[in-house]
Amino acid sequence: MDVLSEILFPVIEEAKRNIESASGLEASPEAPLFGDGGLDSMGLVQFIILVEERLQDVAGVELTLASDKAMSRRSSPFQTLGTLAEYIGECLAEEGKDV
Amino acid sequence: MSEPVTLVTGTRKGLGRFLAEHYLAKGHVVVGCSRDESDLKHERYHHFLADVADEKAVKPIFTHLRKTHGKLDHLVNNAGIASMNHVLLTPMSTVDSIFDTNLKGTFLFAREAAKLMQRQKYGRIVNMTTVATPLMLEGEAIYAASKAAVLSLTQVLARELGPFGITVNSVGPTPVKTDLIRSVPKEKLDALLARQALPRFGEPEDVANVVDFFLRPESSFVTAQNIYLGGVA
Repeated sequence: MDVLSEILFPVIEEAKRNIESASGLEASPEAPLFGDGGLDSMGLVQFIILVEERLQDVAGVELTLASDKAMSRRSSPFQTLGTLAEYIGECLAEEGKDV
Repeated sequence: MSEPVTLVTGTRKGLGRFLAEHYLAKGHVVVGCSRDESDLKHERYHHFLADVADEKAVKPIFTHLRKTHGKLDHLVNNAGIASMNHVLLTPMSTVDSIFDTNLKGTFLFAREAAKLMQRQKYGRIVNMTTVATPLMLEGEAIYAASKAAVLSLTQVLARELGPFGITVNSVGPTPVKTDLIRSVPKEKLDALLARQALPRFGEPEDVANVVDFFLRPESSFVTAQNIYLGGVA
């Protein structure tokens, strides 16, 4: 599964419709997800919920993305779409899902 | 406008069953759950078998709500258990089960409900506390403590979920004649009732009245509140 094209890019479109601070989001791996040019803190919470729902719908997997593992990393997986895609890929691999 | 969608936990019997029927009578779609099968049959009622603290069993309830109704308007976190015992005789398994059902179950349902509610920037969550907490009821140490935690959770949830248009409040019933108080000796109950400003048993309608108030669309400016019944402060 291509996490960027199958999970995150569609979520960007939905986020732009439903999350106030999502207007500046870009469907690009380098685009910032949080902070300057990205989501505010409440927007990030809503974005993560959308991603978890899409993972459930498309991949049939229930992930909790804001886990202790994610939050304790030196470098946050929520910096850009690319870092988030990489992190989701790791989680899916741990679940035995093809990525 | 579609019917309000209301989720009530612990609907097999007691207050939960009453509330499920109460909101069905008001025209809501009602989703309920309990650990055992329910005999409540209604075209707008859907029942799930789930222990409220079991995340794997609970998640499908919210998947159903999202995919079938696309929304959730109200959550009534009714499911709760109690166990009357002296602290010196209370096993840790009882502590675990009471906190699992009363606190963790309430948190889990509130978290998942809020994920759905925030989509429509609207939601009402009502939790259950108890007069056993302010009355410091002997023999109910763990039950009272678990509900004190629910009260604290209610107040913090109200702040965190307020920006999403979700209110979170709680109601603290006096003893209502349900299975929850079946094991409490009569003299204990009489002594408890005597400490209320209005010394009588609560009725399910008394609880529903407060829940109705919290669920009203007009109650959008009422959050982080707890109402004890019977004149207990």
